[in-house]
Amino acid sequence: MSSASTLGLFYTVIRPEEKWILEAAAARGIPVERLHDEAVTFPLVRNGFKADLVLNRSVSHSRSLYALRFFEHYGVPTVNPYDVVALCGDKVLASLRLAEAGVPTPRTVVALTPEAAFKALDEVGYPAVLKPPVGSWGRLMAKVDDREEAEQIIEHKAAMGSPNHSIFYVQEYVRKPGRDLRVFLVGDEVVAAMYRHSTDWRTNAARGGIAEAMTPTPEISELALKASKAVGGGVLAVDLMEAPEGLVVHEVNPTPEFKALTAATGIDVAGRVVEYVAEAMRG
Amino acid sequence: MTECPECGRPIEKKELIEGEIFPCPDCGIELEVTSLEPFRVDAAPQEKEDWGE
Repeated sequence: MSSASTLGLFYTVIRPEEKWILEAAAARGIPVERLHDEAVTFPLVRNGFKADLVLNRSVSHSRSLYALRFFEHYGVPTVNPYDVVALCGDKVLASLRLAEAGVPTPRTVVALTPEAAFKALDEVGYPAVLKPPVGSWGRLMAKVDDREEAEQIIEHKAAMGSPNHSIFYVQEYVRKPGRDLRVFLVGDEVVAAMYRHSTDWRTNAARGGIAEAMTPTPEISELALKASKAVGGGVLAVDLMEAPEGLVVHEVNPTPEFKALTAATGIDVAGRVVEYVAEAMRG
Repeated sequence: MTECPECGRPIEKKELIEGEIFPCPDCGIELEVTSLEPFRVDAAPQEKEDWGE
């Protein structure tokens, strides 16, 4: 990498992950330009910023999408690329891509109206899980145990009025053993993995799931890599569940958190991410 | 030195960097460093609907 190469860090807030990335870049002599998603403006012609590559760490899906598209328009490569983030950020599109690639996923039915949502729930069978197509951290997800609950939840969703809650992503409720699996990939490499234990059916770390280091089996690594490749690859966290019939991938996260993963495994995930972007900047 | 906007606890700059979020040691509210010179903190931004990973 030439001394002129600058890493752009596009971010919302500096969490431990972003602080570790800044420290890892400094330790490797990589200059960083901080690009705060609340402050940056995007003219149609590039001006005013120096970054040779942008690492996206914004927590906002919509800000990420527009910004990444602008950076690409300016000829600046991004990690991850716009297409990967657009795909992974929409559960409907991600499920389609994973299915097309032959990656096992929980049984899923999508409905475009509240009326059709009841049919989708009947097709999947109760209990089922209702998720907004865009959203994370387990927010506004609902476990639906029966028709009566479905009527209440769908009525509430319809009342929210937002287009995101007018599309119904219905998934089978996977009877997993109180945990799910997270595999963190950088390019073609599995960097770290953990179990997330929870008594809540949502095992997200943001929901208080407890992290435990895990050594992925070849089967887990291969499946995670297959899922990563299916969506375009990059810096990704693949979430899997141990369903009775075998492993299923239920999410691929395009701007993954790794605070809990780092604490559980002791692996320098931020360092690996920075080495990956440094390699990309070398071209 | 500044103070938590919620509980008034004194907050020291220490190793904090601009934009960093951290919990107030007393009241636990998430704070964000909005400026280093002068040192200022404010309540961290509220989670929005499209926020996540």
